[in-house]
Amino acid sequence: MSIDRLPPEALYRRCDPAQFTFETSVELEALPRLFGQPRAAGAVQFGIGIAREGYNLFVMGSPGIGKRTLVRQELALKVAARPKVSDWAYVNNFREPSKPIALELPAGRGAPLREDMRTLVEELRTAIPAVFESDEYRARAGQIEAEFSERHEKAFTELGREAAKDDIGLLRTPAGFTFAPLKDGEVISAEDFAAFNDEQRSRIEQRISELQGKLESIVRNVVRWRREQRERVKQLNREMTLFAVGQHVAELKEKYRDLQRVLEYVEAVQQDVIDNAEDFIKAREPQAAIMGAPPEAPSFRRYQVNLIVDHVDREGSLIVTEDHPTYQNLVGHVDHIAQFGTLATDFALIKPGALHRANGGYLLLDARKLLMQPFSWDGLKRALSNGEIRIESLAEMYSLVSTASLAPEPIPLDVKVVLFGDRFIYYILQAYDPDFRHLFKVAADFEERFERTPENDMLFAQLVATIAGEKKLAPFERGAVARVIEHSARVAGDARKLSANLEAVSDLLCEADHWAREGGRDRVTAADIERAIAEQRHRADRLRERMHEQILRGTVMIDTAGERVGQINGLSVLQLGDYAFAEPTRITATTRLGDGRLIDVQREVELGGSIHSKGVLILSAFLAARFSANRPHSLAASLVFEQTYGLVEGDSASLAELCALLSSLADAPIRQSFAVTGSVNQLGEVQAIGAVNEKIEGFFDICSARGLDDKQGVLIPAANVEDLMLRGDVVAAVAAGRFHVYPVVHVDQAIELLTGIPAGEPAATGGFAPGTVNGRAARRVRELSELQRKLGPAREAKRERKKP
Amino acid sequence: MSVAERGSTGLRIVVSFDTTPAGEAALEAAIGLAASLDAEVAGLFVEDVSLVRMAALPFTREFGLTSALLRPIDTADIERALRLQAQQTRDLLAAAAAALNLRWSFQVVRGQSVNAVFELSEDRALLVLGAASAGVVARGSVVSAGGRRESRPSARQGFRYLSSRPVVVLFDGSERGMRSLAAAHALATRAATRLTVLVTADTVGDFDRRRQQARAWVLAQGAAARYVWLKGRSIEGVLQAVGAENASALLLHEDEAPADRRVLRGLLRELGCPLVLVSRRRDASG
Repeated sequence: MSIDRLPPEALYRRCDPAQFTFETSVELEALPRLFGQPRAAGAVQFGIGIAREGYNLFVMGSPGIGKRTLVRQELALKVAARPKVSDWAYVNNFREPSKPIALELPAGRGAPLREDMRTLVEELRTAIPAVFESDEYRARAGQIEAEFSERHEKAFTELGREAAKDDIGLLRTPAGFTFAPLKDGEVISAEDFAAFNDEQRSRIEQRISELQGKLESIVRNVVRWRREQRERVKQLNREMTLFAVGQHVAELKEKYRDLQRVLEYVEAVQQDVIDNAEDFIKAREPQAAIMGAPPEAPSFRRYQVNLIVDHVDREGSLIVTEDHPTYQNLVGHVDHIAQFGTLATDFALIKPGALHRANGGYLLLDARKLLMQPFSWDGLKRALSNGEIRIESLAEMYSLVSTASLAPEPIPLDVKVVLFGDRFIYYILQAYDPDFRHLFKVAADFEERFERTPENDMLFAQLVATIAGEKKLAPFERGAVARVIEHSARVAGDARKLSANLEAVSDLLCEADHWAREGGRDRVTAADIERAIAEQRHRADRLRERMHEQILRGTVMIDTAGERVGQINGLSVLQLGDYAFAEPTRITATTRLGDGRLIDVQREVELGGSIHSKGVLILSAFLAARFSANRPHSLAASLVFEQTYGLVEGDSASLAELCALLSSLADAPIRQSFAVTGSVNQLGEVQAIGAVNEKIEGFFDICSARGLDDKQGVLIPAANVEDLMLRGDVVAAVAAGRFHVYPVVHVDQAIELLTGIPAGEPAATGGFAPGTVNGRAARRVRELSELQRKLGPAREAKRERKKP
Repeated sequence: MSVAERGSTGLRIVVSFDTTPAGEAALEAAIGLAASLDAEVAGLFVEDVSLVRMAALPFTREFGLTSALLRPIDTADIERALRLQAQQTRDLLAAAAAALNLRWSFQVVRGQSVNAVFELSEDRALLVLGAASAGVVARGSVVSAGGRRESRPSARQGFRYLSSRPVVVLFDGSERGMRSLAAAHALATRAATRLTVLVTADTVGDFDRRRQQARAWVLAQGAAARYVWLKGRSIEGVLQAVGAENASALLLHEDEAPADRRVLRGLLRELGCPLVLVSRRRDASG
């Protein structure tokens, strides 16, 4: 069972710069749209295009793969087609100030209305006082007052004259009136009054009593007359104010005659101005301080227009991104201001949210940020479900404050929401939020990788040109572009694919541009790309270096030469952020008499993940099926990942583990110059694993540091061969015959290569040929089984004796 | 009782108050003039002896203007009420003077209001008579009691009472008339109100000539005024003209005022606004 080493050509799929017809990237046209995502692009186009309720989008995929770029490109094409867009303003509700009115205006007409109302108030502040200072007003007000004065003075004068006929005077006291007898026009003294006889005194008192009755009647009339006078003055004030306001309001009505709700609002303003004309007069007078607080002029805030949505730049403002989607930022809120130690608010303090700004257009949100903000998700769903934006105070909803707040009129909502997130969030929401599927009916699933074809290579080159143009980078030589494509395939972990991570590509291009400029070059070369890749790796490489240092020092024991029974070099990958590297790990196996149990030490101490444990259990099944199909499986075995102190997960070491077990069973030493990666199934077939490039490079680095001896190499699943995009130094070593990569499809291939002993084919009569690895292992299993059979009765008797 | 030490013309404007609300209008006029002429305001509160006497009578009842209820009243009640009102008037004067940074003083006397005022204000430059009592209800006093008490414009550095109605001055073309006109103009300007000149003349020719004289002076001040012909100088004629103009204050030279105090009291009762007498002193018009 021979295995062919992989030739160097199989280890790295080059991108031949000769396939490109350009010299540098400046010769290429920029990409009009993102490529390589036909499924996602179609979904986005569909989601944006369909004007039905609930057809909002959830765009999912890894960060940096161009989700937002593609969506923005598609939105930019669609924005112009959105027919309806409006300005929105909140204005005072003069009947119920706690329920501000929402006004919808055609785009661009909100700001003029706001300005018109400001001008109106300014003009009225002059016009109304002027009317009230006019001769006409003074004369008419004076007439009303004079009429009132004459009326009551006549009554008092007549009463006074009537009293005077009887020598009785009507006197004003500090709190009212009184009558007193007079003598020579002066109030008589008490002594003079005492000098009167009883009849005179009685007559005077009787007369005064009669006059007091008449006085009471007059005073009651005065109260009524005063009320009438006030009403007449009010009516006069209304007439005069209407005169001052009418002309200005008529102009406004003419300007906004096509907007019925604005007309109604202007009417309400006019009525309020008429009812509160005094405010405009007071505004011109100095105000007295109240309780030490600075004087405050009458406020005309109630006539303001709180323009919350202003579509000055119609197209640009239709795509809204909210980076901080708190409930308030999303739905809007009502501010408060402190006044005399309490919190007050009004319609002018209503603040719009992202939904207001995006109304009529598109709202782009990050799903994770949205879900992390309390109440935001519910607020968004409520708005989408109800088709309206209702600003509600959270504090009031949850009774956290007792401050009076507003209930602004809800605004009809017509928005397409685009959520960006990863697949995990999408499927969690699908599973647990019944509203989600009704509100976000379109999922745009972005690929992390796309096909590496000549056509896509060319598009990728255009992508490089596009990014270089946008970021004002130096031109990229075609060799540099080819190297970027190769690196993209390496990032994709598949020689047949290219990574869709545009952000990583963009970073690489920027950094290569930097190194080119550092080197004084006006073009970016392949060497600059190589430098950028090396520098990126170096910056993230500290931990790998330390770990490899420990191996090279012998602190972590890894053999790269010699032979050992039950010991093998596995390969572990460590993922640190977006950087991954691998290192060899010693795996040991021991076997002994037992009851068929395979002990995975990692699992026993809860340092093994479930997938890892599954792999180990598969090994147990494989051994039992192969060697104990017709007899009790009397084998006990232990597997250990030596010198690991953290969680071991994944089944990519199961091939190595199985080889270690076979080595132990067959007492066949394994060559330590090899490292092994791959998973196996119950039939012993080797299955693909991830990060094959990093694993090969991890073992190569250790061997290289110790000195290559031409025998070292890595066994990988044959299924991973097309993923290979190895580093240049590895490829060079393979080309020089100093390092080797072996693709295997079955464990028997692997064990034969590792031990140098034939694996052994099962004979037609069953069993394996003696001397082969399988034959030796089978013999050992039979021995153990026989031993078990002999020891079985004695063990049974011992157990019986122990029973109470 | 001066509240500010500053340069002054040494002028003194005496303003009289009594229990009627007409005093508030008088205070406004006095403050306005004092501010214009940089003069001291001397408040004189007259406790009307008639009221004290009335309260001593055994059957006396007071009829509440607001409550329309009869209640007994005795001398102690009146004494207390007068003291309280004097204090309130003093506070009002203090606030108004402070607002305009004016020097002021305040004095309480008992007697027949007009008589007492003349006796105690011999060194005055201007005399503002707001007192309207002396036994019988005067014109306008009831309105003031109900309608204007809450608005105290002088305390707010405003002239609500004066600003809503014109200042009226009696002008006969003489030097004293010019001084009255100057004082009236100063008051109208300060209160931002209109000025009405009652030109006394027996003939049209005299009226035209005196009107031209007054008009030339007013125009020279950059102001305007309304000119009304007052034929003769009878008390009735003056009262009728002032009533027609709905005046906020009437200014006249003290030589033109009735010499008889009874007649003067009668004028005050019927006038319905403060009466400002311009003194014979030459500096009275500033």
